Amino acid sequence: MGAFLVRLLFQGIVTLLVVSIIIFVGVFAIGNPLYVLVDPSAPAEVVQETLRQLGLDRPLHEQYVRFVLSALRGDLGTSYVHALPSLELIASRLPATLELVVAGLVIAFLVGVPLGLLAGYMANNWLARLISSLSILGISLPTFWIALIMIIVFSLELGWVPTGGRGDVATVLGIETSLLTASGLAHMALPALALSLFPLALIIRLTRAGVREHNRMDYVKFARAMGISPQRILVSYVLRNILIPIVTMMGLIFGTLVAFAVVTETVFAWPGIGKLIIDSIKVSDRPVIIAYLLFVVTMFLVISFIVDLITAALDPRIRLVKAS
Amino acid sequence: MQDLSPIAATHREPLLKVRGLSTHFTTVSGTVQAVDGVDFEIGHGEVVGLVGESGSGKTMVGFSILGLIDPPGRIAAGKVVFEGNDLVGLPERELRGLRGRRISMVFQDPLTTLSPTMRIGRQMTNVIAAHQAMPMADARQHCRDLLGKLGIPSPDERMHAYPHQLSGGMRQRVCIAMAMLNRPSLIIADEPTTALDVTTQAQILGEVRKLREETGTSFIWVTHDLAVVSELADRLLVMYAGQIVEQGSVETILNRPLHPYTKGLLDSIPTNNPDAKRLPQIPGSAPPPGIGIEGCKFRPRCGFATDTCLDKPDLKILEGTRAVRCFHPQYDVEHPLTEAMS
Amino acid sequence: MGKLSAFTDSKLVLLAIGLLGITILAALFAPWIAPQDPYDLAQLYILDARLPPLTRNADGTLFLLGTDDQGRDVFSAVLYGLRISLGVAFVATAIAVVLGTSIGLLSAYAGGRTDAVLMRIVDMQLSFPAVLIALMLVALLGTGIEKVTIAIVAVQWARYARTVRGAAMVEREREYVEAAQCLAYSPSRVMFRHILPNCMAPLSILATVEVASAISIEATLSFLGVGLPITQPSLGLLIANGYPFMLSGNYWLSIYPGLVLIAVIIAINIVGDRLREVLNPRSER
Repeated sequence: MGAFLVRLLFQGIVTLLVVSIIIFVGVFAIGNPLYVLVDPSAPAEVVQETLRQLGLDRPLHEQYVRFVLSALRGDLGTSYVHALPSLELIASRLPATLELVVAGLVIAFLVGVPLGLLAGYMANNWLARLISSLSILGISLPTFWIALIMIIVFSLELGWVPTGGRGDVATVLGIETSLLTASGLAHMALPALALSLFPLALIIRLTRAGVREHNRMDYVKFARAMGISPQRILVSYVLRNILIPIVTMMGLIFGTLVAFAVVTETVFAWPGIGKLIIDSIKVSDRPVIIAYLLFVVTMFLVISFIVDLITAALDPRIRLVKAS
Repeated sequence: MQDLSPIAATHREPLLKVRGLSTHFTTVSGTVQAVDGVDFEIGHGEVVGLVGESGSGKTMVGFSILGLIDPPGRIAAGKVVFEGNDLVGLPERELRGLRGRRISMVFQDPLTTLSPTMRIGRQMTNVIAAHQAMPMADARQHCRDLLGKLGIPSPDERMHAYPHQLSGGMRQRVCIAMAMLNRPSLIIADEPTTALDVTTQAQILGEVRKLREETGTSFIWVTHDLAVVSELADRLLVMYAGQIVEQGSVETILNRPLHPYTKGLLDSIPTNNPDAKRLPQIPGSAPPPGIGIEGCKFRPRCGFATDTCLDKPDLKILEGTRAVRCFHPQYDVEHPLTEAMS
Repeated sequence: MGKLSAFTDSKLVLLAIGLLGITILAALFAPWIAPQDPYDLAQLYILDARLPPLTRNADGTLFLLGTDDQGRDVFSAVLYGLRISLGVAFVATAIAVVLGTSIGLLSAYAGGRTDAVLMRIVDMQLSFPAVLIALMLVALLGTGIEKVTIAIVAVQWARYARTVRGAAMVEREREYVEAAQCLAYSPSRVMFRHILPNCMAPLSILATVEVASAISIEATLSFLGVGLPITQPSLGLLIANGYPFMLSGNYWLSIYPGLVLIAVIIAINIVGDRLREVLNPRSER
């Protein structure tokens, strides 16, 4: 277990280093940050001075070390637009994104697992085919288009929910949330639903495939040979065994959804980090871009680390190894 | 125990009567006749060994009886009369009521037959709960008792364990206990000891024999190992390529095999051939399922085949339950069948 | 022959192929089919602005899919947009196929360290979502048609590399490769002339579906405003431009480009799905 942990940690750190080099080289070498900071028509000595202040006259590797060191101190620069430290900016927008992602995942799980069980159990009838086809659409259609259609139908035509924005928030333990106000929930419904479609499709497919695979296994056939009802076999035998990969996938997809939220948040004007990064890219607010990319990549690595640990904990076979 | 002799079993209505059972699998490359017109009976309290190489359709006979043939397979023809009712074509609901209650099955590989994420106790009580309303405490007590009888030390602890925490032998004992929980009258044991080491195998056989004497359960003991089945069975059915080629009591088959295939099987057991430098083998290998063979299916591998064998041989009943499907049964010169019958 | 008939025996697949054929032709011949050049400002009249579909203006010109806020014919804009969307997707897919296939073959053939390093990179890249990688690249490189193309290639090459490597590893063990090696053919000859042709089935299935995904990525980036510039309005950009007017009821500005977009994506997926069934008989569906 110890060696396993160390190897995981090492892999994560290497990946993070590689990504930070890519981002660093990308931002500091390809694009010249100087002309964002200094008016290009400024006198030569002002340009030189800024150059020196930023350490941009140093060799690339030295600059990279400085970049990493200040990054380790939590300093990723200050947003040109918001005049706030970029990490702080991200932290303030993060709760909105996280609650959207969590809501989307919960919807996907609650809807996807039953549908997947149904599709897997029914094998080849029309309902199973319909569910499978819809799940293919959920994966291949661009999310923004589905989101637009949802706005047209549910907001503009039916008038059930607002077209965008976050609505009222309540503050719990210093964190703002939309989940506790009626207006917040109404604003959240569509974006959460739109965001849930992609994981929903994946969960349906994974559950369906799992049911089909496990239905061929000996333990299911044995349970059938013991006269246990199909419903019971599906829910308390098969589901129990395929839940581990489903939960693992949901954990891994958490990071993907934070990245995916970029689209949903833009369509629904949801003030999370996804909308922040798009706005920042449009005005070349580089410190925010760097902070966002590094933050999301780090989050990704941390999540896959945690998921590996949880998988190990969930599986009784691995749990035993630990206990003995 | 009454009615244990095979002759007596035929006098009254047997527990299970299989007639013309054919199970076919439809695949892209054609229809595979996994079971091809099988007839046999199992008497009350009788243990019948079903012997044959892998791929001979033994397992499919078991699944066919339980109605557990999944598409693309189906029972194409035949009857499975159990306790007076034909199970073929019975609605799934009624079949499910029989499975695990009147007819049970034990699988070959104990490592894969239990759900890995559910405790043993829960899996066992589920089998009881599927068929009868019993208070949980009683159900658990019943499970503990049965596990104890099968030689599992401290059954209470084992019931809290997950399958992977038990050895293969322990797991197979659990499976056998599960099959016996509802006191079925017939258990189909599909090579239950093949995956285990010899010592465990012997122990389990002993425990099963003891329990059987206590409960009077009938068994179909599917195996490719004649030595195992000869210790347990009253009667043998020898299967080849989906058909029964020879049947009879254990002694007559072991001492006076008639079908060249049975003879080949017996010759390849080391203890039967102490002098041989090399064990004789049946030449060739079992036909891959789906390959149609004209006439006798064993013909391509048989040293005694003639042109007669291009016709389909029937299962000829010689006397009582002794029958053989062969045009050239190998009567032993020293012990001809007629002598054995007299 | 058998494969061909298996391919076309479903009406749905035929419909999808027909639809794809029409859209590709429409994209190729857009300048000749379109009633107006939507980006020639001289042809636009502000009086024609925001006409609903199937209406005629004062001159009696029919606007099949209506007009936008500048009086631009939406039908023409969709044809031109299709041209750009399909163009970017096909070019990006072609580059990614060549790049990914070469790397996959190299990895399979070289084995050992090279293989381990290349596949580690592939794994690392595939562990991040496509959207994130595409966003990262446009954030670093900026927007524009070649940047978006690079982003799509960067997202997709690893999938080809992995698929081709997987297929090539299997092929490599086959006897004909051994025979070719015994004849002392050069490694590149063995790879491209002998192994590659046998990897074509999985490769073509993947490439088909990935064209749809490339269209989708480009549309998404353009919709977000970080893809193609306003002077090259792809379908995604048309949808984004129509979006503000949707709230005031002028649905057609976004709906029609969107319908064309999803029709193309669904059609490609249907064809890809059938391709998988026909080329890979073992696959279960």
